[in-house]
Amino acid sequence: MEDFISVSIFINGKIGRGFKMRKRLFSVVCVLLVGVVFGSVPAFSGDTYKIGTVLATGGRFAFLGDPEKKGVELAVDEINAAGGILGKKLEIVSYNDEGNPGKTANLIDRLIKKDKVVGVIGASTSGTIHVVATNCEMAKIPQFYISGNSSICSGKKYVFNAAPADELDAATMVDFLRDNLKIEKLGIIHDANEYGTRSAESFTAILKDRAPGIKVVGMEKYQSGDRDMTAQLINLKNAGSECIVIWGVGFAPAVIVKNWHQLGMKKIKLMGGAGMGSHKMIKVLGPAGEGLLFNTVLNYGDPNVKEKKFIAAYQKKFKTVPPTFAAVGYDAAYLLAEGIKLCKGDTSKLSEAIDRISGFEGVQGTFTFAPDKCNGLLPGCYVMAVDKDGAYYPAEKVHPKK
Amino acid sequence: MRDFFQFLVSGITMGSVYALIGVGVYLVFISTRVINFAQGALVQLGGVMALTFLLSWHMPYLLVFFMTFFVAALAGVFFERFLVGPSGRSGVLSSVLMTVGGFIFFEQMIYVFWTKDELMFPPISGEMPLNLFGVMVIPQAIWIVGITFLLLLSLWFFFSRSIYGSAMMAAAEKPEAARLVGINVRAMTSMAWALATGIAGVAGILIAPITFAGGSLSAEIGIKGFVAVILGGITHSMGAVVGGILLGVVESLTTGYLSSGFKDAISLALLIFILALRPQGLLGGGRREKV
Repeated sequence: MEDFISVSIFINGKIGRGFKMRKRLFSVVCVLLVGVVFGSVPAFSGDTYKIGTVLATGGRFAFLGDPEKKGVELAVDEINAAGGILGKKLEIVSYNDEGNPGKTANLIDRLIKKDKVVGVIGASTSGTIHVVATNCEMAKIPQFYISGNSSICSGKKYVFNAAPADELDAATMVDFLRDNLKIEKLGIIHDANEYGTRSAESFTAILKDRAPGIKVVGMEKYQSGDRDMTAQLINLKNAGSECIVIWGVGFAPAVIVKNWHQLGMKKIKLMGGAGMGSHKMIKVLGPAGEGLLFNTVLNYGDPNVKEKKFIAAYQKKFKTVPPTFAAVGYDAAYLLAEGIKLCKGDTSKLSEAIDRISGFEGVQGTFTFAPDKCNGLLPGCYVMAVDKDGAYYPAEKVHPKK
Repeated sequence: MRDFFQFLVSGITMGSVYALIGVGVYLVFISTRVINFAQGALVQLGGVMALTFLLSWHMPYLLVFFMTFFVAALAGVFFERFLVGPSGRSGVLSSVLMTVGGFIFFEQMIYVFWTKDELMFPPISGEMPLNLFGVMVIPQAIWIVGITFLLLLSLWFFFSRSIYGSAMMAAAEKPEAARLVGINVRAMTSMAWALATGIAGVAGILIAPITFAGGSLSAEIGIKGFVAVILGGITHSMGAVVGGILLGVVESLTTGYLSSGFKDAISLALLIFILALRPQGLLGGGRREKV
């Protein structure tokens, strides 16, 4: 390479006529050479492994993207503090797509072509995840997405899910309804968006399978921007529901909980899926949230060693209790790191390496991937109950298995 | 039957929220002939601002109302003086477009200086609903309806009985003629904007316990307020209230008896229907030209 540089400078000196011309040509050749030297170097031979995130850290989905990104940051800090992977540090390149698929398309393009990342974490919403997945599949770069929607990665070689699949979520909830609450009539209220509709459908299918004794007596929906859910709740109550299950994310579920409290419907149990696990939301509800049940991958009420360490570290760094979304970002970063370790730094084989991850202990639970298993998280969810101060405890304490 | 009344009450509650937003749109329109699309963001700005006054600065509730009114009014005057007014020299349409820009600006202000989350806002008198023969009425709804009517009564009194009110109407109707008889048109326009944005701020405080404070809902509630005032008639002082409550009740009954999926479709079909039959809105009368 050095010979090549001196040769081209020599040629440049020969053909240049006049000082100005020569100078300009010289600089052009230099720029070209720099391009050749650095451009041809593969991304993994630098002194860091670059991982990219495309998350909705701003806009109306910030409640998802913000903690997700913080989880990734926390994990990367920890990995680097412990000496990095194979002697190299991890470096994050973060972009905010605001949950807007148009922006996602540009940003993922930039991550792949300009930043040359070895793996991608994101995105935060169903619509944007599809965009990232298509691009990563084409560029052969592994992606960990964050959604309960388990079907996005099926049939794709480079796409993985770091979040608990809805099916997992639903199975724990169904078991709890059957064994602990022992109810027969169930009402469902869900967001009319893709997440809510799909989750409600898969939940009903699992319910039929695991607990044929429980009948769905009412199914209601709402729009994410709605601020009054009394009509839906009254219909579910009149249908005879003994428990109402919520499928939705964001602040609309908070309105449901508030209306449930205001209508004096606390005799009917209210239970949310993993999308409800936002400490901020439950905290703002105050006494209205008392008695609410929600399903989570993080056992807040009775955390194990790993969860305790994660919750404490997150609280120390960001001064707030981590929502479950933060845990997903955290695990996704560790899974990428584990993959890099398994492929011994040859990141062109990263996705095969991720397929080999087995029995990896994340903060959400144990992950095992396989070529035909892109939803790696194994069952292990907990139902929490909320007390009047907005603190959680395992729901089994008040609703023991009978 | 009890369900019907519960749907009705929730409809009226949301309807009064729409009405309160609509009142600001009405006020700017009758006094300057500009449709203010920034209203939704101004309402939410009032909400988060009041939350800071209330929780961080520990002001008493009543003082928070006055402070929010004052600061929002000031923001409105600056907005009109430097942006909406100057752009209006090339026609009302430019002013309207400027308010769309204002919407984005005020919404981003909330994101930058406050938060992207929705925030819980403490209601005036407790969270516990009143039980009227099995129908649950939240106290905040009564406050909203009461304060809106009080507000409209004083506005009506202001416009029909006070000299400033008449001057404001005259300045909007025929600016040149108003100037000839010695009315300071600039001052009147500023005053109208101050009043409208001040009311938007107060509306933000009143509706926040129901809609949450924070920016993400600005567009939705702005549009609902706009639809309310168009339904009821933008030239009538009670238009926003009638339109708002009609809209809220239709939404609530649709959700209750049909499905929430039809809610927006039916309420907007209603808007098209009424606009086709009565373009001036339910209450809006034909405009009389006086010489």
